[in-house]
Amino acid sequence: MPFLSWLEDNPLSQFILEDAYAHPILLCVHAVGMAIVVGLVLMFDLRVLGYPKALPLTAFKNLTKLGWTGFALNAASGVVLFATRANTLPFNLAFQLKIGLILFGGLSMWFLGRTAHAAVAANDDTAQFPISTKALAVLTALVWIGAIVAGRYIGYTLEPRISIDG
Amino acid sequence: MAEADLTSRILHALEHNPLGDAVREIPWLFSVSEAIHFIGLSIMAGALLIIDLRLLGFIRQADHRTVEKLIPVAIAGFALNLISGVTLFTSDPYMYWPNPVFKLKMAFVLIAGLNALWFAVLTAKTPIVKFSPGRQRTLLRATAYLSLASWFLVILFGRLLPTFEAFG
Repeated sequence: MPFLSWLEDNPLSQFILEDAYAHPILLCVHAVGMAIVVGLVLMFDLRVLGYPKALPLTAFKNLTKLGWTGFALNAASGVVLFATRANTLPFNLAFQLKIGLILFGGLSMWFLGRTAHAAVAANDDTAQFPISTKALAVLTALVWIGAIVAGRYIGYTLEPRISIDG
Repeated sequence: MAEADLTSRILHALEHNPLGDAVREIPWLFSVSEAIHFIGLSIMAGALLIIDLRLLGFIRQADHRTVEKLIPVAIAGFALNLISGVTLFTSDPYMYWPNPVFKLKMAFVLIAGLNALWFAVLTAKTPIVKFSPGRQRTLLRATAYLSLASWFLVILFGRLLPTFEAFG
């Protein structure tokens, strides 16, 4: 496809592929963003499950900004990393799975966030949640963990181009 | 040199044991350990962000005693990473050990660990709310900064390991 070829052949992608440090630096940014996003998502899920019970839901208000910052880091580094492999990745099962899981995980986080918002709006900052909400929190955690695993497996399914980056 | 001899004996022992044999013989064990290493680091990062940012005064809605309940969560994440990390290392100790970035990573794991120990000592006698403003609070904030800085450096060095393999 011309668009995918353009993504892969444009000067930025070529620079990243040829420069010794650009690719590893992008991988570092992607790992730090992942730690922030998935770390905070997992802590929010844990709170919805009731641990720590007394942790106020509004504590996650400031953390949401941090979580979005991590997400922005990963969206930016992810798009650039994708471009360097644009002809291959769209047809890679691990990549398709990862993107699907991120979309699903984002949607369920949005839904959980809305539920927490409703509790805070009703002045119940230390609300405990019904089993259905807790089940969604477990699912959300599993989906984000699945996204990490799928992402890890992309590295195993690609033909090595810069062999030193693993 | 006796020291080099000791190092190579330790590396040899780490390579030749049932765990090392297993991770080299079972095809999926290495990649699964790697995936677990990434999951463990996310759990640790999430718990530590909340714990340390609270110490730095960012999430004042939560009281210290509640946030301290996340310490076992961070330790659980660390345990996952210790187990998966040792498994990865035993697959090929002679590849990891000469890598300068591996030594840097381990140095910062040690710094972060000693810092956590120091935090435990500081807060063992006095609950955090009783800390007097000034020098005591500053010490506590220092442990939070050091924790965040050293653990995120550990992530960076970990991700850079394959890039610097050839430098060993």
